[in-house]
Amino acid sequence: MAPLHRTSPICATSDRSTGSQATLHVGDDDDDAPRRLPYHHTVKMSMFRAKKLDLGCFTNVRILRDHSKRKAFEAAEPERQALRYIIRNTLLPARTRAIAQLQLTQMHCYTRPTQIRNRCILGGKGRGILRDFKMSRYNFRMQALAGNLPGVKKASW
Amino acid sequence: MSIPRARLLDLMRARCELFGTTFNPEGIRTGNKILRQRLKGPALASYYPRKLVTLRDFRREFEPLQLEVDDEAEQDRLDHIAALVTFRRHSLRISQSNISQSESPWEGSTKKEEGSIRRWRCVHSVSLLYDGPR
Repeated sequence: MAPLHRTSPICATSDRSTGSQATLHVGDDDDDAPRRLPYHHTVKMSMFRAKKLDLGCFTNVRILRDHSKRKAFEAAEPERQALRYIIRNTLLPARTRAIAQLQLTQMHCYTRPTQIRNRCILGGKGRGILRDFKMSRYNFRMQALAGNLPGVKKASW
Repeated sequence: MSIPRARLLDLMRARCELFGTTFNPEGIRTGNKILRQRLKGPALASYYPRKLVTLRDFRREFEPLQLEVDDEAEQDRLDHIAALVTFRRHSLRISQSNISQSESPWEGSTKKEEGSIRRWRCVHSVSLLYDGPR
């Protein structure tokens, strides 16, 4: 694909445009600058937690953690998508894409969507959650039998 | 009879202009599908129900109407603290009576008296923990 890159006018412009972006956003490593630790080594998990409890459901530390991760992901999502775009774009120079890959992997783990897990809002359990009701299967059964879930009815056939 | 490729490309370009899509005849991976994706952060962040109104807000709303709102949990907490305070006073009285029996509590005191002093300190620190604002 390399010859195509050089000849195509679209690629040339994109090279130029991302060249400026690479210095601005991605940043080149110069050897004189002091080495910084990766981002996830310097940031504490607790900085993502809300200073004041902002949840109205059942609360335990796992729910708080998951909620913090959700908010962290929401805040970092545009940046993550921008980096993913740079990585996927084969028209960009390989160096820019490699730097973007490194940046994406060095983002804090709380900003990753795969860290998010649905938990039961009544008991905080992490397994056997019905997505539609945000409840574990046992709590769902209890609530359904008590008639607290509109439209849910015990079936038998 | 086959249609020349240039003509097909022209058609494709015109179609792209018309529908506002990217003209990419070679099918190069430009990563545009990432840009087309919707952001799912707001939906994910609103999974857990947020705290909407607290009892304190409720009380503040009803204050101008001269209405009082009972907070049972807060009352339980205050009762618990009151019980602790009376317990502390009681044990303080015991320890003071122990101290008054001997001349100097710190030097030459018996093991029993030392224990009582220590217990008073312990209770005192517990009550300090509970006296503070929540």
